[in-house]
Amino acid sequence: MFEFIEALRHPDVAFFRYAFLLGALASISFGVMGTYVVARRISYLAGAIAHCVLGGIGAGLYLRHKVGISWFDPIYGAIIAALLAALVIGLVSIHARQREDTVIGALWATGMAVGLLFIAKTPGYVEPMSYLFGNILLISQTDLWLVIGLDLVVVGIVLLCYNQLLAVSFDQEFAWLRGLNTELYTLLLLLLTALTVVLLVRVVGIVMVIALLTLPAAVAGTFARTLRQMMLGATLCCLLFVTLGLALSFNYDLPSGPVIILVAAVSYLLALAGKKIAAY
Amino acid sequence: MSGAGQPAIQISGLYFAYDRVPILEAVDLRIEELDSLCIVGPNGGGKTTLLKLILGLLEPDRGQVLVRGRQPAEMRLHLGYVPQYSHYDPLFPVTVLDVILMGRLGRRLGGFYRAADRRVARDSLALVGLSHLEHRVFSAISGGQRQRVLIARALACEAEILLLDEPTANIDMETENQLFNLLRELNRTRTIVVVTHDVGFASSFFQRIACVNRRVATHPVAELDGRMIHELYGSDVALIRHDHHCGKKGSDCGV
Repeated sequence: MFEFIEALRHPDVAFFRYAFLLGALASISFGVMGTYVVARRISYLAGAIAHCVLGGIGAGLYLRHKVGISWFDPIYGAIIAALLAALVIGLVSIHARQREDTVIGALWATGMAVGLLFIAKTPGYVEPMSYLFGNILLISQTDLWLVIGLDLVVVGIVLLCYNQLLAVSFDQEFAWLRGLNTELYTLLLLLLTALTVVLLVRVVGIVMVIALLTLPAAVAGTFARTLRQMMLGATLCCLLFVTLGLALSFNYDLPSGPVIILVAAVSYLLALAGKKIAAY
Repeated sequence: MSGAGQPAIQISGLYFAYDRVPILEAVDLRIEELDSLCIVGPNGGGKTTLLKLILGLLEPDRGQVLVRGRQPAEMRLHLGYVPQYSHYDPLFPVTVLDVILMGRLGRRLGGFYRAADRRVARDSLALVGLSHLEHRVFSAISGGQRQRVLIARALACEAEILLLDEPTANIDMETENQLFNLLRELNRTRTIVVVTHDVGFASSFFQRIACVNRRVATHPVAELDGRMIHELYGSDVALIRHDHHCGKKGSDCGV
């Protein structure tokens, strides 16, 4: 643990410090949005959004390196793809009477396919595994500012609309009867989830981002009495998992993404076991 | 908001189908202000669908539903709805008071509650006799208690028309008696529509009964008898009349 703290302070390993800071800052958005995803049971929607991100990243890389649009960072492509996917999924989820799962599954795979094709046509510039499973070397100072911006947006909207979002998440029909625009709030939740997913793809990758979105909230949910408590608990859990995961990966020279996810998964199992024991 | 002489709810020529399978057809129904109407019928007969059409949660394929002369969606703030408690995610983290406060949404721009909202929510909880559960988690209380919390949430709306879906499901006789007394009290100032399987409950409280089995026929409750129930359900149904003194020794509850 001592070496880990030393590494965080060392000027030669700025990428490591960035990874820790990004994880720590993103824990706020992840804790808050993960709570909604778990409480509303929409992790498969978030999963589809996460996989569509690869399409945006691939397109961004292609535009930058092959077409020559040098200012177009792949993160912009990722953000656009995630927001578009959230809109399509949200509208399907709101309006489709049936086959919603088929449409979402198709979108999930199509996003990945588009991304892999673009990456295949942009050889030499990117290793797809970095995006699929995360690579802390990819994190830059710009990402830190983006996460700070996201935290402010997420926390601001949730503070302003907490009661409406609670009502829509708990009982959509009743919320509509109380005059709320439930479709708008549903879309808002999905768009915020999309933005949160995009920024954490850097740390744990597309394949594992859903685990880091849902496991801290699931751990907090085993003990929380209210959505507020669950958000706070999920934020603290996420911070703990990222810190512990990065420390272990540094000490044992392991890839950080999988270690963070395993720490989260083991913690969830312990939380479930703890709840069972407490019930006896 | 109500037009003079307008009924609380007016349904005319209603037709509704799910995936081309007709659920309700040729439905005409008029519910006056301060009326108490019970909707009974077999499973799949269209009771809950009819309730959702009145609430504006579904739109008719043909015909019209009007609430005080206007479209249900425009009048939704005047409707208090009590769904079945089993409709909720048992793991959702929310306290009893937070559930009831949802009934105070929509009263003004913004979603912050004021002290007056909390007072109304607590009064509503007291009316259903559950003040001591204010801070409990909604999913951790019993089914009957959850049903009463949902009734308290509808009361917190201060709506003039109350619609309840199976409010007596999974509650014991004592709680049902309390609910009966509460509804009777509320009916002095509110129109009440209840969907129920409990024909005995219907027979003891309501002024009128609407038998729903794709079509709707209304009758004064006094006309409810075994023949009518047999026609509605297609078989004999035990009718237990709840005279709300059945707990007393020597009372005759069976009909």
